[in-house]
Amino acid sequence: MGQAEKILLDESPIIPVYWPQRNYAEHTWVKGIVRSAIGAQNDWKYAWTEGRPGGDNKLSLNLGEEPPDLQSITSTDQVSFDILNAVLEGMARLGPDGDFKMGSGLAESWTISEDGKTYTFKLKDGLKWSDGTPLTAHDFEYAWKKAVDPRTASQYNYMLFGIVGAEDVANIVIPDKDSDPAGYDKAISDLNAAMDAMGVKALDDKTLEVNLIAPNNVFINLTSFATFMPLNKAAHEKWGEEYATEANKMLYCGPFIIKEWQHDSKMVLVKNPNYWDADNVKITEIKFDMIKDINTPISMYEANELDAIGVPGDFIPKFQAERPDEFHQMADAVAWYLECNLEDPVMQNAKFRLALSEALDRKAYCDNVLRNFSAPATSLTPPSIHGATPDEVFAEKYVGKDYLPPTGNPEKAKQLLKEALEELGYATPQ
Amino acid sequence: METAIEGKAFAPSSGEAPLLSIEDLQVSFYTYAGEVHAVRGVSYSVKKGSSLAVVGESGCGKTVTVQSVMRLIPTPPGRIKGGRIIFKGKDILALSEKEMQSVRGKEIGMIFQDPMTGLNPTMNVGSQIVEAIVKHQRVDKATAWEKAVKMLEMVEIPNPKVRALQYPHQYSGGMRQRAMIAMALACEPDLLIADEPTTSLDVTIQSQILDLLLELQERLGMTIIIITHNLGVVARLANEIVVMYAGKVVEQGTSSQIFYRPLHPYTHALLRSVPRLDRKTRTALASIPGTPPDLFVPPKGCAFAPRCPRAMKVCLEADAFPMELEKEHQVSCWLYHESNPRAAMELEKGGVAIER
Amino acid sequence: MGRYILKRFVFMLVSMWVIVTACFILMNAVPGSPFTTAKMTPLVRKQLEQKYGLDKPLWQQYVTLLKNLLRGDLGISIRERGRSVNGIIASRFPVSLVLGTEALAFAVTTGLALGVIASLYRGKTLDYIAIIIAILGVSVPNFVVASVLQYVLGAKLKLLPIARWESPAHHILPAFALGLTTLATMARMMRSSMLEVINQDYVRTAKAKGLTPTQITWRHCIRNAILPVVTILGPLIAGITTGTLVVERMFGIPGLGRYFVDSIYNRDYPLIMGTTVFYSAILLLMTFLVDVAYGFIDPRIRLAKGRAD
Repeated sequence: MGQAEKILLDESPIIPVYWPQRNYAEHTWVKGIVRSAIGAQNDWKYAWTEGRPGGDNKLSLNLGEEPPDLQSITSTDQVSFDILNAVLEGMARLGPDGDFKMGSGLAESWTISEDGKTYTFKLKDGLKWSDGTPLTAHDFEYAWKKAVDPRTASQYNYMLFGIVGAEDVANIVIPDKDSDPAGYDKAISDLNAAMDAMGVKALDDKTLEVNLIAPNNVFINLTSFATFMPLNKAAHEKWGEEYATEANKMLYCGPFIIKEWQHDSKMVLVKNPNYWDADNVKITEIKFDMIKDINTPISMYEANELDAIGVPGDFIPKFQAERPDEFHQMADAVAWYLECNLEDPVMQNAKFRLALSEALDRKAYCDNVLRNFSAPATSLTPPSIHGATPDEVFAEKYVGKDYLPPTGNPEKAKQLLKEALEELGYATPQ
Repeated sequence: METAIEGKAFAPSSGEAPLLSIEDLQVSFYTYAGEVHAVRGVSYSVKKGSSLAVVGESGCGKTVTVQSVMRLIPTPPGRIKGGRIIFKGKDILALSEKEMQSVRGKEIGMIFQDPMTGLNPTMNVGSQIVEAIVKHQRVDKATAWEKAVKMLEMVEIPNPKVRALQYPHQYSGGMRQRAMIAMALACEPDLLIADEPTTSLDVTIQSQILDLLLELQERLGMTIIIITHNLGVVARLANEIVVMYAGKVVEQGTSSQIFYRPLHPYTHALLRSVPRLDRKTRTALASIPGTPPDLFVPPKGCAFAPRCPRAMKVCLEADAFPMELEKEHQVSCWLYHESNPRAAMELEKGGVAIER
Repeated sequence: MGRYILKRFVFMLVSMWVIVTACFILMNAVPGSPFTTAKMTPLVRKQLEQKYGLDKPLWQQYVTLLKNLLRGDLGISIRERGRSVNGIIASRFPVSLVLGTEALAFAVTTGLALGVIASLYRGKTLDYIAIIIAILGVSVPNFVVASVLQYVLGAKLKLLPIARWESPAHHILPAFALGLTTLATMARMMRSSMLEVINQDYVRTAKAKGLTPTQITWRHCIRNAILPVVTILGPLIAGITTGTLVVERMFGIPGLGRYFVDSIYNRDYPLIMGTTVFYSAILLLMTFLVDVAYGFIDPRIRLAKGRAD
């Protein structure tokens, strides 16, 4: 992996710029929100409040925008992930201690074969969807197969490509039904065969067997990701394209359900009484606003109308000074990068791209432009991603500390530019 | 005659009190460039039932004077600095704005120079007349409307019922002026002030409007003040004439006195500039050389002196006062002052000045 | 009048077609597509393009677009999976409309009143106050006004809600912030229009009739002064409906305004086309209605149109 990243950085089809810092404020009465650098950023399952004005164990938060897609298998954005993580659940759930413990999600337990390629999940007893229908292993099988179905065209289908046969399903090209009926019929039968051959199978209502192409020690973590969450076939087929476009057009199996969804305005989550761990969910209601503006939430937070907010760069000094107990920071597992347009003949030159990368003063950009404690990205993988052990920083260990110069290397950039121009056949500037 | 030459302030010669008398009226406009002395001590009066014409070049203060009578001078920038305007025994300048509202339209009606812009384009003509009636007479709207139609009929607008519902843009220029007259007369005012009522109309329409005014005056026994620089109009309509120049009255008298015995050189010049059909000889139309004085800084002498062919030394030094040289005929000119040894001769000559 | 209206209607349809075509060309000429993101494999991109019909030749897409538009079908949003553009407009536009109407009502009434007062008290304190309000309204952008109001009236004094779209109290600040510029424009225009009318001959005529200043102001001045102001109402309404995006964003109001811009960022082709078509239709309609309204207020125009028959 480290080798792969080095090649990527040397070839520079993408140029990492910075690793963002998450700056947020939450009132002191808010307790126990689990924040993650990957996947869903906020988990309210374990949260509670103490002495909240306006009543305990309720939360008022700003979602920032309308969740674009709450169909778990096609969803790709942070806002939707947060909501999906609250209203659905995968095999495992990230706990307050930062681990995916057995029994933390819908799976009671799992076994991993000797070769590390076969996972057998056992679901908890008495799992139910929000409409009362039982939640079974078939709902997982359906979801995972739907996620790679080319007709679904899920952008995150590759997350499942570690599963035997998943990529074969995704790669089937289905011609237009009207212009090529024979080809269409053949593709569909191929698709059905490929799906049957795919390495995910509900052995019975409570057992799901998954076959991986190769061992993957983060597969359990992956099952908490939205794309891997279960989907009820009957409901999904009933609402079709409109599935999850309204609060009453989807089913829930997580700690909360969506009680009210006024598009682009607000969303209200309430505790899900059918959730297996409902007894331990303390928050009874979460009211979300969808205010895109960055100043408005600050005023609302100061007026105690919001319990937690993200703090934009301009306000960081103010919050650090005035609300030190409420202001928090954490590193996100995200890298912002420039993507080179490889269709452009000049950009096709690797040295030219690397020259751009070397010329960037990432630190100056973070300190003077962003001013939100984001860190210069000296590699693609951010430091919050660990290696074999949790205390080992992947990028430092396998790529090398400051693989890309934090403040830029103009000399090297000039040299590279000169070489690139020569290779491209342009006259060298004197 | 001798007494007049002593320069007594003008007083009406007849025993009856005039309907309106303006006494030493002074009006100035305050602009960024300074004070414009538009009216500099004007006095004249009009008897009940007579028709008075005020003539003079543009900017001589004739309109400002009559607008002061209606208190229509926009203030600021205008200000009435002094004098009195006695109308039916009361001083108009001392009335409150509210009292003034019941004088306007009800006791004094006024028609303006430009009928094209004098009517509200967004209201039908009938309503504009009704407005005036309802304001001054205790009648309901329907009665007022009937009266308005009757007024339009009176000013000879054909098909008045339909026309009352129409808007000003559907009227021709002459019809608009008729409508204006109907509006001004709707409340039967004692005095009608017509400020250049025919200036913007074409010649045939001018004559029709004058006929109408004459007829109405006879029929209603109305008093009229007509402002004009058209001496043809004056000849037909007025029995008294006031000649103004640069904010002052230079000569006044009866129609025949002014036309046949004009005394002031300015009056002479004015009369000579009128085209005449009763002359057989084809002579070039005379114009008055020079321009009227700058009223920012009025001259200390006679304002006409710089343009006057008969100007004397004294004319540049001091302004003449009104002298009544014959009954009801006054002139402000040093030529006729007793200190001029040729005064008597000038007076004799005056009447034939127009023949030169 | 009937033929005039028909003519205008045909003109509107032609304008609409030009707008749709221009929008289609521009949309496709801008680099990128709804699926320009590195997170996607080329295959998935192809699958998505197939799903939304973007794999077809442009002329075919254009024909399909026109066909759908004629049926009143604006298509399915790409960004908000599964939602029809018709549905989005139907649910969001009423909110923008309410907000816009409130802002406009406030702006027009207050703006006109301010303009009239300023003109009647020309050169006096009230005039200067009105002028200051007008200058502030035009020069201070509405997001600044909104921020200050939110902070002072909402966060500090707690007199009005800071954001959200719930009770009538929630409407006050956004309507004010949205209407302020229009208010200022109206006040400024009304003031100068009034000053012009006050010096008109017919106002002097009215005064000579003995009417009271109030009667003169209402019947003769305002009625005539308002005409040129009405003509700019059309563009102002357009400004207010499109201007809602900033205010909607700040107050968390679920209106259509922000879609107008966000859809472009997201390259959500059906939504771009849908909102463009929708707003253009409104704009054309407004211009048309204002024209007709102008004719009703001003009899001269009414007649001229009659003659055109």
